[in-house]
Amino acid sequence: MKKFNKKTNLYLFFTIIVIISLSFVSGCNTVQPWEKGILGEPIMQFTTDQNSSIYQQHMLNSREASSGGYGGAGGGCGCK
Amino acid sequence: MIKKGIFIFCILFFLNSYIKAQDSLKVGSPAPDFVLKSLTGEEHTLSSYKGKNIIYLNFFATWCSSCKEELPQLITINKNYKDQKLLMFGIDVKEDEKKIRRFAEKWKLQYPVLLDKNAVLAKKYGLKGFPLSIVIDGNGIIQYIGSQPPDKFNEIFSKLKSTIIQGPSIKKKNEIN
Repeated sequence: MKKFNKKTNLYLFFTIIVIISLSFVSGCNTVQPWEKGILGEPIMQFTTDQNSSIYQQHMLNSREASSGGYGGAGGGCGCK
Repeated sequence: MIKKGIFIFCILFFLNSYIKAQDSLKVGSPAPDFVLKSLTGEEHTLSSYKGKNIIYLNFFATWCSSCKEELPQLITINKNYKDQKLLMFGIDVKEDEKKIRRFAEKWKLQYPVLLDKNAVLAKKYGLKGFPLSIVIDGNGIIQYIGSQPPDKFNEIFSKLKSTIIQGPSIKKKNEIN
């Protein structure tokens, strides 16, 4: 049987604590259904002028030959 | 050592996710009790309707488009079955009371709208998204749970009728008094 010294024991203890804590991280980022209304409000949008933003994206697309990176489509209520 | 650590992490991670997935209610499980105030200030306790009424709970939000889409269907169900001891409750979670009042007036809701101000009930019922329809029989058991009203509500209702005591409903008793 291999014997561990104090330093190794402490290292082992902290490793286990970190592993257990990390396993609970999955529950931290859930947006509750009733909070999604706030996220869908106009003030939460990245751009104030949607038309101007679309135009700028189009220009970027034609000049740089690149597009995307502006999020995806989706409903706010989590149902569709 | 690292391999063991990764292995333990994976097991704990999936176990945690599995436990969280088990939290939500299913058909056949008893409906958690609640005491909530309605827009009119009346207090409603689920357990007080046990054996007397079939309960229809509809979790909604004023900003949710799917909730608005299903409203005509809910209004029809309420209209057709309220005299047969169906009690429908709309439940709004954590929204401004004035906003809810405007919404109820606009849609001319004939059933009580309960205010779940601290989202306690939403958590109890494992709300994952709006809308959510729940049908509870006279024994307090959930018989339907879904994001839409049941397709054949009349079939479900006729099955559940035997779970309630026949006679004048609570609403009618109050009206007589």
